[in-house]
Amino acid sequence: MFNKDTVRLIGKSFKRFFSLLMIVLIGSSFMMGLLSTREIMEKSVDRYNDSYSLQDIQLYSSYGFDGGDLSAIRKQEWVDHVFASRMRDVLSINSDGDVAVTRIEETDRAVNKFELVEGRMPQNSSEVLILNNTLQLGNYKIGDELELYLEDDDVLEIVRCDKVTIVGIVRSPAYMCKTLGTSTLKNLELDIILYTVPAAFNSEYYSTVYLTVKGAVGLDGYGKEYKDLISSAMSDAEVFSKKQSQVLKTKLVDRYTAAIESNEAELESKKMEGQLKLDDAQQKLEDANIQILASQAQLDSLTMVLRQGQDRLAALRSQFSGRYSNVEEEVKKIEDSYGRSFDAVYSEVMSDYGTYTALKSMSDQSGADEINAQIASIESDTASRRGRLDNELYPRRAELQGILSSAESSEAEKAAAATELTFIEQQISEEEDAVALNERLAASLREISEAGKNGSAKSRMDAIDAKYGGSVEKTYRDMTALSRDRVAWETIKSEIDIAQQAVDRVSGEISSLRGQINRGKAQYEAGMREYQKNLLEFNEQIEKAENEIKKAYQDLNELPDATWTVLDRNKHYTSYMYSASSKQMGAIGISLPLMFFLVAGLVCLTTMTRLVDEQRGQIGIFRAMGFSKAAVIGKYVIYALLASGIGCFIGVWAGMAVFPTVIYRTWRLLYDLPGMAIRFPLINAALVFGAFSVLMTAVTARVTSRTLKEMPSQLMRPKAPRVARKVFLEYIPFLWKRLSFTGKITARNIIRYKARFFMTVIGVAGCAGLLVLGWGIKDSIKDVVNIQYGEIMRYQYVVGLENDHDLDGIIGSLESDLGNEEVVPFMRYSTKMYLENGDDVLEAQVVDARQFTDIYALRSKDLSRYLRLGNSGAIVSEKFASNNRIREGDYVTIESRNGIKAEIRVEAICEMYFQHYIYISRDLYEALFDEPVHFNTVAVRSSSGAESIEQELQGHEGWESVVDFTPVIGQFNKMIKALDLIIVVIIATSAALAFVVLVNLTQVNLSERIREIATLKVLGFRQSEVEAYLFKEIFMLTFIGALLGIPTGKLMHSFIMNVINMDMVKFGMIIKPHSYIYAFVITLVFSFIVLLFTRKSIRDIEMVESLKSVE
Amino acid sequence: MSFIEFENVNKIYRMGEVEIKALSDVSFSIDKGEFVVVLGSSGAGKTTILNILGGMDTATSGRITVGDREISGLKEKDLCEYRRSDVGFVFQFYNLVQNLTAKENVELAVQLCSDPMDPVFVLKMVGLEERMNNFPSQLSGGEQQRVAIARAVAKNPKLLLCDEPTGALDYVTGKQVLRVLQDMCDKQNMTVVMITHNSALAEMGRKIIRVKSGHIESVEINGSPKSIEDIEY
Repeated sequence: MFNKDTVRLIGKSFKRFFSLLMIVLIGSSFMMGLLSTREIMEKSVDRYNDSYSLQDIQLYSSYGFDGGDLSAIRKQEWVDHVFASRMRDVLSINSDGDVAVTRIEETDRAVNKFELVEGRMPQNSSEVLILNNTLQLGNYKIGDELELYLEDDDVLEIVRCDKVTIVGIVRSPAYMCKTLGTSTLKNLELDIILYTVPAAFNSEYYSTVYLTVKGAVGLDGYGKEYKDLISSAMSDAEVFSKKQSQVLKTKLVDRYTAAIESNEAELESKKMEGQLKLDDAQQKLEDANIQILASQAQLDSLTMVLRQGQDRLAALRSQFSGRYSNVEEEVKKIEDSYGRSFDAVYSEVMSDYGTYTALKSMSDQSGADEINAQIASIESDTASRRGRLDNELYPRRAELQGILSSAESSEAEKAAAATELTFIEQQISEEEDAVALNERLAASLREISEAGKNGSAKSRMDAIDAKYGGSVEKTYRDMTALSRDRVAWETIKSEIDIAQQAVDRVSGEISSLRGQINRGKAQYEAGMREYQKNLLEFNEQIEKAENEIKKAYQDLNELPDATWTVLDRNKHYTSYMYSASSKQMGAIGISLPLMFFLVAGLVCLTTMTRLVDEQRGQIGIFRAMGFSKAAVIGKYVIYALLASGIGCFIGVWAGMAVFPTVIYRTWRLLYDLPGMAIRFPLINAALVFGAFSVLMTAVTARVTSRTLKEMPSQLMRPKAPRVARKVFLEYIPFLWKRLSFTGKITARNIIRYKARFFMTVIGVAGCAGLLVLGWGIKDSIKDVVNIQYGEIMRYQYVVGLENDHDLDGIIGSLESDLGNEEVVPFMRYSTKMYLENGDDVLEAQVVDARQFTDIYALRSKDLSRYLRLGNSGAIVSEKFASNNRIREGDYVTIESRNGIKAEIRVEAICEMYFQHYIYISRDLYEALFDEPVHFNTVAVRSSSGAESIEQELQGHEGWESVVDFTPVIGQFNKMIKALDLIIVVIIATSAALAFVVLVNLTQVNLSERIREIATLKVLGFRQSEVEAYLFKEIFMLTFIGALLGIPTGKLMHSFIMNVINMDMVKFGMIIKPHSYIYAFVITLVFSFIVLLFTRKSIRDIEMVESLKSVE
Repeated sequence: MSFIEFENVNKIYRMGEVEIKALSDVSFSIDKGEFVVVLGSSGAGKTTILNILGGMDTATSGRITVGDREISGLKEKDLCEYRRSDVGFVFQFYNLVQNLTAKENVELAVQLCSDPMDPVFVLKMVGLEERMNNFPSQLSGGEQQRVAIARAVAKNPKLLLCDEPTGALDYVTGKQVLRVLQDMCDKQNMTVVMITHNSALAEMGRKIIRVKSGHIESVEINGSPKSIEDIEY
């Protein structure tokens, strides 16, 4: 009977029952879904980890591992599978010029295996697989060629082949997180992972060892059992590694020692060889020096000779110019006046003077006798010569001519004859001349003698004197003196010539010798310099080599102890990140459903209160009939439990069906997750059932027992209406008077029914909050990329430069295109910041302060203002600052591009979502590090596209690549689409929440006020006025709720965003204004829809209800 | 012509297959300023008459005029306007709005019509000037009913309809309430129609209409209606 009554009660108050059921359904589905998500996330990945043998433990060694280490590791009894990898981190560049930090691993592996998703396995060292899980995957596909390189080293020392082709795509639990962790290259973030055949690696050492622990497969990787097993294996591993780690070091030390010793010996021999060469060179130089000295001595003696010659020449010249200065002139005068040569004149003068003296001598007897004697002697000489000619010479000549012309004479005879003939002819001519002279002399003597005899001598003498202007004697004497001087002059003149020639010769010799000496000296000096340079160099080299060897010994001595680092999955980047994510999900799963739980409690409270109020009379009758309080309470508890039971049952299933799937799918944004492993978590279901049952029972029992305190007789009478109370507004008459009656009623009602107020406000706030959360998540994640690449970085392209030689030309060409709005060069490099607790790496960008705002629109961390780059300090990106607790105004130490350290002021901290940066003005950089800035990058803000930029760069030297950011944005936006699903789920959930709460509220309000409404109708209230009277309250509550929903949503949003934050990526905390507006408006729309449904109920209320007695 | 005319009014309720004839061929007339008492036992149809007269229900057939307006055949919207401007209603259970003070309850009605009376004046008239800022729950039943009457009267209606106004009241307070109603009729010259099952009260009326199982049993003109103080019930 009693049960039948309960069933009927449900039928009678179905709307109420249903709303109770619905709120429980929503709450329980939310709770179940979110509670179970963590487990599902963990189970799915654990299964994945097991099937691809994810490492349990990883070993690193400061010296690497060799085969000996490996076999020792294999012998450990806790070890299951072992895989030693020679993986290395290098750089790669693809045909588009994308540079990526690349890890290259081996394919054949027992641990951290992978699944081939597409393509085929590599067959040689030029083929690779690529991990599909990378944010930049869009840039790589099968068939792409990559070039591997290293900035400082030769990549071919690591791998056999530096040009590789992608032949397949893989996924692996080892790299499930889409950020791959840091590489070993200057701590840069890893961009891509490649796998290639083991034969592609050159190194003989393994860089790391992955291993699995016996018995770990099958255990829950996030559970306690696994943790215990691993921690015991870890302690074994620690002990073992301490021992084993020294083995390789000892081997290496021996090998290095040998190497250093051989280097030392080689140095010694080189040293000797070099010394010998140097000595030889020195000897040669000394020889050359001696040669130069000898030449110098010769030069000295020659100089002396020259000086003597020159002295003599000078003496001769003075003589010449003094005494004989007019000789030539005199001679010339005579020759001119006589018109004949001097000699001819002189001989005539002599002859005339002879004649004159002879004539003079005729004046006495002795003179005449002497002339006669002379004539006689001349005539006798003439006679003797004639005799010789006639008797001796002429006959002989004839004889010889005969021999010559005779045919009988022999050739020898003829030759002798010819010789003799020449001689004879000569004698003949001499004798004939002498004869002729004698005859002329004799003739003239005879003439003189004749003249003396006939007295004409005197006149003849006078004639001769007259011929010479008075005195032939004087003329003769003058001429004789002149002739003597002339001879002397001639002699000196020839001597001067000879002396001049000698001087010239000597001075020629001297100058050639001097040239020789100079050349020799120059050669010597050059040789000397060369020698000294070589000597210096040699000494330096030797010293350097010796130092190197010394250092090598020192290094060897100071070689750190070999240590092995033993890491469990907590230090495995992906596992750590994912475990953190699932833990965060667990936190969300516990906190968010609390709101639903609270609302469910409030809905139950109002519903049951109203139900019990309506049932007063019934309860009174039952009580009067003798049913116990417990029985009565039980009836309503069963009612509530039925609603919550059915709600939970559906809710648990619905929650399992919807939330884990949606959330799991959303996590795929950050992780490359395997298929989902759904297992129905019975414990959670029991928990949800239990929680709601307890809640419903407690609330219902409390409500019912409150009513049951009244006596049955009281119960059968109408309930005394709740006392209306004045609200605070009434104490402000100014405002209160302005309120309409409905306004007044609304104000008082809101205050009067607190449970209803809270239920509605919390429920609606929850609804609006969820909507804000949903859109906020999307805003924050979506905007990360759009803000980063659209608002903060105002450029879309980056031109990488090899050098800045043609920087002006490149900038000029880029600026000539009107599509390129801004072209700004800057210098970027990876720098290290020295901090109290270790160093951290970030990218430095050095820009001209005036151009900074052309390419960056940095905002302060709280987004309140835009930042300028000044010369008093640097700007640091916020994630880096918060990771390292850096605040504005702090001083930090960073490295310049060349590794110089300097302290710099942190002027401001800027909003930034990807990567870590420090921005420094060019002037500050140069002042701080005393180092010129060489731009290596050009940022281009452009609407032209990468291809046109590349075209503009044609013909310029020194640029490497053009990087385009637009595909990154597109890629990311595609991923963001997945978030739409979460929005849909959130809208659906929040709509359901709003509907349930509002329907419940209107139901309760309506049922409670049927009388009032009927009365108003009777009083002549129009339909619209009645609606306004009722709805105003609901609208007010919705409005308050929706308003409160905004901060609520913001709170939930920042909670959830903090939970899903990552190291390198900072998600925005942004909720766009329109998201608030959406949430607000949609919430109001929900309530409006509910009210539309209610209108009919209001219209259906009969006015006759007003005439009925109070229940 | 009289102020109110009921001519051959029938009212049939259909409850599924069953037809219940609540009123059959009811005709009567009421003059302006008359105090009319409709008398009948429970279920006789007097409430139906009141409902139809008050514009809360429509007749199945027949003709009803109030003043110069025919209200039979009016649509719901027009009926609402009729109730709003022409009718004042006093309920058996007062039906005050719990969240409004006495004065506010009166004002609530006043705001509906174009030519209302001053609420304070009306409340004074019913003797409640001391209590007008109290909430209904702070008032006694008689006081509540007087507020209800004030609310009905303040609209300055052509017609004041009262449904067992003393049904929930004790004798003394009931008398006070009836006094007010009588005053309304006498002093304000208001047409008052009061429904009651208490035949003792019939003497108050100038006209007494007796109803029995849907029919008009009799219409009696009382030449000298008694003052309420003279009636014992």
